[in-house]
Amino acid sequence: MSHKILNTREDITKTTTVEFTFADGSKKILDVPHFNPKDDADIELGLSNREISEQRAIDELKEMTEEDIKVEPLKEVNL
Amino acid sequence: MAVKYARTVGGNWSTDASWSTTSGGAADTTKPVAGDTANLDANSGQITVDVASACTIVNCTGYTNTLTFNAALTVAGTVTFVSGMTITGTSDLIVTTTATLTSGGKTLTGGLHFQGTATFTLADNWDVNGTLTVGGGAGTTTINGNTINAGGNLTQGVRNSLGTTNIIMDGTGTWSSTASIGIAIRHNLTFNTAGTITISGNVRYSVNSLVYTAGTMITTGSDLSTEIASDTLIFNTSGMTWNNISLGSTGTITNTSTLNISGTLNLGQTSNTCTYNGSDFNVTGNVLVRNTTGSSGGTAKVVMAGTGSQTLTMNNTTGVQRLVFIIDSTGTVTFSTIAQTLNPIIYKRGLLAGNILGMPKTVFRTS
Repeated sequence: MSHKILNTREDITKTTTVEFTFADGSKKILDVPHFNPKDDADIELGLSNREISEQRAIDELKEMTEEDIKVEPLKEVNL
Repeated sequence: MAVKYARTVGGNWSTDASWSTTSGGAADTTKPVAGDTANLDANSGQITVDVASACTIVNCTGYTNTLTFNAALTVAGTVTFVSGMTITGTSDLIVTTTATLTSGGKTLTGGLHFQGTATFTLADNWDVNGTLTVGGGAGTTTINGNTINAGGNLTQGVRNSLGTTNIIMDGTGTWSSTASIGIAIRHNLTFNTAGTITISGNVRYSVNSLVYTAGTMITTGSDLSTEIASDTLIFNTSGMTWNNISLGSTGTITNTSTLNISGTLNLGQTSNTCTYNGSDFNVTGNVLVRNTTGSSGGTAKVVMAGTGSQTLTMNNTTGVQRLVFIIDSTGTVTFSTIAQTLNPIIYKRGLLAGNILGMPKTVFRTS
């Protein structure tokens, strides 16, 4: 996993636009807000936490079986 | 008010022989109780709060030993911990009276419980591994200054908790509340964890900023409400999805980023004028505009973006509904009432049903 900061905006909440690269090589660009960060380490902690959260979400999705993902059959609609 | 010192031999808090009237002195007094000052200093040994205990001041200046919380300690005044000491145990520190609280940079391994009509000033940041309880007493609690890092649960009691202290949920725990509508946590609140945060049941929030940075969020069955008149707040939580949300204050609610809702979005209150600005509400559940004589408006748009059945209900009678709605569904959106709205309802896709005055049913196409 890795991440690259693309942009930072500043007010009481700093927002970093980050490109995350996950274990399977997939990438995702997200705006990550950091409320009143003390320093860069605070921001990095938030990004590291977010990376773990997003990776976990990807892993959980992959673990789902087809039965878990119930797709509604297509309905015919008379227009 | 007696001043007592933990003796060099240390021992249990409830044992009289653990205490002296002088630093490093002999066992010549009784255990500290409410009204007393408990000093743990350079001459003090390990102290264990072994049964529920109380005092007015805890002063650990110079203490280099271990204070263990195996039972709750209630302090009705100043708490001073220092960097050289060690804190262990999982029971609560309960603070009840206006005072300054100093953590000394130590982590409270148990819980921290704020209660009572009091103003607490945090002299530094507090790390709490146990349950952080706010608004737990008989009146409004004010907590000012610095940040509390809540590594476990965040529990709101039946009273308001307000002030300048920021709260960060940075571990694995549950946010819950026993407060009724109109009572809320009014601190800046941030979710920033590598762990899992569960929003449980009805939780109340108002004023300041609610920010999601990171964390696995479980919101199933929960209901977040911000129902306090004239309170304003900022949501910046696009990385997570809420379950039900009720936004009924007369203040301005600003979405700094998209507010995702999988349950029901309740907007407005009967006669209130409610303003929603900023980014969109992205709703995959139902939407209920509760204004009757009041109105909802603002720059935020309500996007109905579900994949199944969604219902849009507008209760307004004489009130004017000014929000822009966008139908962007891959399922069906049912208008359960006649939609009376000043601004257009923008259709992008989805099946429509119910009271769709002026709009033939299910004939809309995206191409």
